[in-house]
Amino acid sequence: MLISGILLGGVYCCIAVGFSVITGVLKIFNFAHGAFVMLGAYTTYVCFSIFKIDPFLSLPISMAVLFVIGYLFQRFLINRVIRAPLYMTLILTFGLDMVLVNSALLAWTGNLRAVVPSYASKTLAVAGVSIPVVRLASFFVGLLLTLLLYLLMNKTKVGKAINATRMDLDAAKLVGVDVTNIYAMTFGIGTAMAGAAGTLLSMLASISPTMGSMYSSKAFAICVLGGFGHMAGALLGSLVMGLLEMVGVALIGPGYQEATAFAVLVLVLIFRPKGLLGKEYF
Amino acid sequence: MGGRRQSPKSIIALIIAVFALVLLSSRLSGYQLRFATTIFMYIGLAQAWNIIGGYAGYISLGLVGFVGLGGYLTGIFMTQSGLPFASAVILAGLGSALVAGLIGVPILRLKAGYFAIATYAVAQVLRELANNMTEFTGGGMGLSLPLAGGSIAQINRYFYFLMLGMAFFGTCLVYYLDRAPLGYGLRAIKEDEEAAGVLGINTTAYKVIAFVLSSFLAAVIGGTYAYWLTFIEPISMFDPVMSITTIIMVMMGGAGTVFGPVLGGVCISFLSEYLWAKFLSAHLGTLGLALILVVLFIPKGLIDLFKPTASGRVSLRGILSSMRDNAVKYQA
Repeated sequence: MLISGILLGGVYCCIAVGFSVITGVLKIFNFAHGAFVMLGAYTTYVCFSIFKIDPFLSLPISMAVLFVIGYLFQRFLINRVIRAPLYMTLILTFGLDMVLVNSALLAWTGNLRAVVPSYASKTLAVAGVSIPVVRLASFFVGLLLTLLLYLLMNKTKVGKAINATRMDLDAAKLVGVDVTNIYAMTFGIGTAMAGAAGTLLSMLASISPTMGSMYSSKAFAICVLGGFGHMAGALLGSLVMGLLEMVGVALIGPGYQEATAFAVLVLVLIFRPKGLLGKEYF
Repeated sequence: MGGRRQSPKSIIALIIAVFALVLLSSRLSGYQLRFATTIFMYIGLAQAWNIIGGYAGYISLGLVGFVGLGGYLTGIFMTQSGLPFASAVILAGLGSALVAGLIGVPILRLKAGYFAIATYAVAQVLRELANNMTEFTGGGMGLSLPLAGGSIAQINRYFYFLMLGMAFFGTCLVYYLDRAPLGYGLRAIKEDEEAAGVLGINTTAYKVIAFVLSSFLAAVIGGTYAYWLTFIEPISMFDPVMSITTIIMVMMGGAGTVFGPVLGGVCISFLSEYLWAKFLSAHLGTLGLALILVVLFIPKGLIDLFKPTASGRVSLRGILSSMRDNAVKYQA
């Protein structure tokens, strides 16, 4: 069960890393992040049930779709209030989340769905524990995507532009970075990561329009715990969060799983707002 | 976000309105009474949020946590200690105020975004506690409060007056705040907290007081709500939609004003009721859309939008151009 928690951490990391990047660069908290995870899951569901595409193979599709959606939403909606006091963007993304969830509810109804590929029941014996192949594969895919994102951010021209925008908006503008485009691209990248996580989660948990809110909160808790500013923070935060959740369940009882995450969040905010590895942004 | 303070004449208008509403009660049907009671409840909640969110500028996403806390405390005091409603609800309010004070001190040190999340987290934790502390709260199975005495019609009117009283109390509280040094301090904090500190305002104390007042009001309303519902469970008492609806009401009406929440409360309640009847399945999404539109086009609320232009009159052109400005001025 412990291992199960850690493996899920790989997927959480995807979500958290996307969230962290958006927060770090755009300086906003994307309350709609969970909704994008949910949309990724539904994209995979559509690919799987209608087009018979294997869930892992639908990853590029869901990532592309979510990237485009994210880019458009940022460019034409969120961008309008990006320089406003923080609370306005908070409320905007809050409202966006509600609209997305309701749209999904209308499109796919509230019935729980799942993506069950043919190999779903296969397990692998690792160190005496029997682990479902899907869960193991998702863990590695999650980590791989995080690594790819790291490479994107640090080794490519786009990544450098994003980092520049993050560090100093006006200086970036001065050297010719198209900030509007970069903001939108960063948001798109964040939502693409969320979409990928959604794809992976579609095989691990049941899909419903409201599944996103739990992941929004977890992503936030993880990022606060690990610290914004370094991707390693999100990685460390995911693992620690997974462990803490297991500890919470073991010590206090199963109903308190979510509450533990939130309690941790509040405690970290009070005593060490930077998180474990973070640089302070706010 | 300055502007002239609310004139005392409006309080007279308010009292007349309340009087009229009291007289009106005997002419309303049961459904209308209950609908009006809900509006009053939301106005009260909106004013509670207004104190911390509108005046101090600290957006709280966890107002519903204190509503639920107040409701459950009232329920527990009434069932386990056998207290009558009045004492139970006051105690519940004080208890919540205490909790708010204790939690407020650390989390009010956080900056806006983090504070919002912390309040959301606090509300969630409170909900989970209510869900899990089954010996006290009945957990997921709910808690039953004693019934108020009297016929259905009498009960309807009783709660109509009670909630009207809450809305009135909330509005008076905000009116007082608007003109008192505390209010000036909070507005300074909202505008520029560092500068306020430099000016000698004890920002922590002011913020905590605002948070405590806000939570007290929310809790007392929550207790009344619980008594009205008679049967409470964590999902209904800690309903996040309540938080969101309250925020839309205040923002749409005008955060940081005395009557903004009243206006917003009335408008959104009618809108919501209409949507509920016609577009049940899109209710949440439409609220979200309303929220987005309010943030984009009327972030300062309707009260600010309908201010007269330089010529002294309110013009449609002025309103439209304000809306257009709001949508553009914060772009990257």
